[in-house]
Amino acid sequence: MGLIALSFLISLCGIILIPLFPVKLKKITAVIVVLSSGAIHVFNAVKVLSGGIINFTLNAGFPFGDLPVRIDNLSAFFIIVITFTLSTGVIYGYHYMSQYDDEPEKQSLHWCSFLLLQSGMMGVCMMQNILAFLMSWEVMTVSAFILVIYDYETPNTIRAGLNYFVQSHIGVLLIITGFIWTASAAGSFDLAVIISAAKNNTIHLGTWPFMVLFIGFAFKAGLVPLHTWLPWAHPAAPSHVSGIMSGVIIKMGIYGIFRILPVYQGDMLQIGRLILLISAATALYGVMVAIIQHNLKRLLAYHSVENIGIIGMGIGLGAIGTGMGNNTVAFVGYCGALLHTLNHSLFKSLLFFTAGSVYRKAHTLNIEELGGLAKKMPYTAALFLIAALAITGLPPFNGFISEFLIYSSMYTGMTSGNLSFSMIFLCCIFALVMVGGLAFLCFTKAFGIVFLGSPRHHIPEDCGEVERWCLVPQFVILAMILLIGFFPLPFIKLVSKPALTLIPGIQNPAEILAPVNSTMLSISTGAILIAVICGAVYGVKILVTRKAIDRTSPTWGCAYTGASPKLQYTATSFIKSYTVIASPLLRIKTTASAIEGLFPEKGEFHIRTYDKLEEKLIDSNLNRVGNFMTLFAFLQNGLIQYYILYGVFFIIAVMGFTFRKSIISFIISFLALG
Amino acid sequence: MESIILIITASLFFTGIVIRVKSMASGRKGPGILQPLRDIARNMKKGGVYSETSGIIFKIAPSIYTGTLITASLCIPLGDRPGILSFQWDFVFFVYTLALGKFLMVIAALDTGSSFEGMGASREAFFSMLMEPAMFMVMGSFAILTGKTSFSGIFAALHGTGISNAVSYTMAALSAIIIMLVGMVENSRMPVDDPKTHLELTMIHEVMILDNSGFDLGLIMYSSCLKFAVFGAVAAGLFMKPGAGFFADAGIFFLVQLCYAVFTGFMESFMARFRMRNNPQFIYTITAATLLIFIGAVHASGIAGGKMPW
Repeated sequence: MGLIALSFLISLCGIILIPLFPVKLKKITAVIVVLSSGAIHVFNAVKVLSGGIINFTLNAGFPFGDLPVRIDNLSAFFIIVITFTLSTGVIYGYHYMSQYDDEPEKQSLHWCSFLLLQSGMMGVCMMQNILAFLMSWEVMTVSAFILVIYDYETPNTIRAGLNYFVQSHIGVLLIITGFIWTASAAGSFDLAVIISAAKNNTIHLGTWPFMVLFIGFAFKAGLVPLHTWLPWAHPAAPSHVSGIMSGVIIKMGIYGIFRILPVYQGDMLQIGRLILLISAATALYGVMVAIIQHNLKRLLAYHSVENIGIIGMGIGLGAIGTGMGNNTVAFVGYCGALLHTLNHSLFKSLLFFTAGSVYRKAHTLNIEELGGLAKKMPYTAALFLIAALAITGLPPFNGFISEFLIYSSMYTGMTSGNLSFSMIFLCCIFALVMVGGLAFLCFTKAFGIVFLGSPRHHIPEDCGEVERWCLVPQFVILAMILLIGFFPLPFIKLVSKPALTLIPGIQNPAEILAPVNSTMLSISTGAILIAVICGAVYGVKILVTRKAIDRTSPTWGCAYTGASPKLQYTATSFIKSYTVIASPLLRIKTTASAIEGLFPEKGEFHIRTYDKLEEKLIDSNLNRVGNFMTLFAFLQNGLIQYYILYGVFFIIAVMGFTFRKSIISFIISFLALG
Repeated sequence: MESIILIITASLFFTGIVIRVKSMASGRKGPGILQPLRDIARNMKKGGVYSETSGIIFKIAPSIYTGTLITASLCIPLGDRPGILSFQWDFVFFVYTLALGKFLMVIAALDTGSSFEGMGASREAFFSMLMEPAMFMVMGSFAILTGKTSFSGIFAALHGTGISNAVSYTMAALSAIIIMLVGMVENSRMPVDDPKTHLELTMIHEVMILDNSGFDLGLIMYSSCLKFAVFGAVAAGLFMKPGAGFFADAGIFFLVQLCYAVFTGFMESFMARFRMRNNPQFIYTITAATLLIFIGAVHASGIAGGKMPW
């Protein structure tokens, strides 16, 4: 307990001190505070994972009363994931924000919010009192909002930020409703009490409180169709914040879903099927829309939607497995979901950091204008490439491990002899394979167009590699990606602890764990073999061609000699065959002026993409609500005396409602007297 | 271990046989069966010509392409003799490892900054995306049918272990055709792509490797042979009976490879290449045919309620 208090105290000190320091020191303080406070949290989490749940009650006085603080395996796992991403993020952010060093006030707010975000997220992981949980959740949401709108003078940024703010709060509203529902049924604000009551059927909740909570958390996680804030907020935020948002903040929605899963009292098969299908749709839709994006960060944001879908598939599989009584399906599914949570936080933050480096040096994120950056920023290119391979789920990188777990859970379920579930699993396998294939298309496009070839547009002269210290956190993430990809066993062990606690009534965990471990060992061998054999082939190449002379010449243009960078394939042309097929599901608008005549004038071609679901579900309904609300526009007339009058009316109405009985009886008695 | 040796042996002759069949079908004598190997060897001795635009990715991609292909082929068993890599759901690893090599080749093509190669890369990425589900569906269906989880487990349990021969051989034959077609699409052969004409605007794979030369080109050409042999080996595995002995298995192996090569040769002699826009339909027809195998597996394994009286 002392340690936890100390870590929060460090953050508090940081928040107080940062505004007082000059700009450089602000950032250094933030780095030190995040790292030291994070170290304490990780220390606690490791202690919990090695057996020994931290559980104590804090008397916080009015209005909370006794606050149960509990770090179980699930919390500990998320604490480790969050702290890792925040630590790399803050070091990367130190350099990223140096382009804004002339704005000390804004930076104070930024870094204070950063520390607040850390405390908020840690609070969400630890607090098991519903009120305290909601408070931490709110701290997290609001501080993330402030982080996103750093560049608030730009109208797009503030709009994106507000979009995030409003949508998050619709989610918060649902979470509050759901929690109050469960709390009033159980008669306690302690989540553990509620869960044990729900498990022992001493209270009857049914499915609805869970559904309300699930939708609330789904807003944060960004499950389709509640994902629409995500692709706006990510590109608007500074890159280290985008990385953290995509890496861990949306994962808090996943944490919430994991947390409330035991509250569900209905048929696990049904809820599992629902989660699995929604998630499969999320994954497919996310990647389908990601392909047509031309802003690099927006593209990555849609990939977050995709990966949340993959994580959700794991959760759904876990629930189905629990419902079927097939512990292997459940365990491997949950393991896959948890490991993908970790993996996604690694490669997605790395992708956003590298995208941030591209933005810093090339001053644009429009894929169509970039090109040839691999020569100017070789390390950034290599980092982006590895992260792209990992997110596509290719071996020997970490994304493959978690996707493999989800595949094997689905295949195990498929062969377990239940026809209707075999069909569902077949569809979901198909979906996951398609997701992999589409991600392949998307990241060959993203990497190939941005980093390879020649620049398609003017790129600044001083565009070069970022500072060495900026690369360090990225290489740390890279090391983790390779470590998980090549040696998955310890990480399976890490996720197996929280996964096992999620499955009720497991008798012999070793029996389920053994085949997974042996498979992982083989995959590890396979990964090493890939590296060794590829290296060997390259070695043979060097050996055989050591006497041959290599030449350089211009790219073979099929006898056309007037080649210029403008002739290169662009991102739009690269995905042309895909857009032709997928066009009914997407919203792509092109405007072009044809090139005519012997001496053509300047031709034009514009392409604009939009999220079709957002247009149909969100925008049109918002317009409807907006139109309805204009009926009341007369109330807002800008005259202060009217506003005071409204206040008076409101107070009278409230008082009248409170004392309605006595007023009515007064009137009746008055009339009777009369 | 046996399987990888057989696969490499088969890969040495495969393209030669295809070319021989094509020449015979068009009434020519044709080159010797080892001619493709001589071409590859000659290419490998040469120095490369590298584009000024391209960088390190372009230089390492062909090696990784071949390396991943070799690693993937280590998963393939020979009948009930497991490959060097054999574990639960190893076919997922197999397909994804192949995809890694392809990823590198696609971005290597973009590295040259040529519009031709960009076009080839775009199509290669697009078609391999469409092609991916077929393999998963076929192997998943066999997993339902046999209750086994890996290549070697499935191949060992398919025939003579409780499933009637009529069912198992019918499904094996259908799957073998599908896997061969998958192999042909993966290799960018007819009817999806024409490997003969390098400079047409309608090509996929050949235009993607336009800038590769020397050792790299030799590697890519050899990889194409190896890829045929790998998919042929998967198809062959579907016909092997457990406990039949090495020579019987090897016999089946080479017979299936020979049929595959002859089939490819005839296909390329008598069919025209599809128009590019028809290719997705063709590929999805292959994928849809895998559903037949799934339905067969569901019925034969009895999870659809009662075993069929076959």
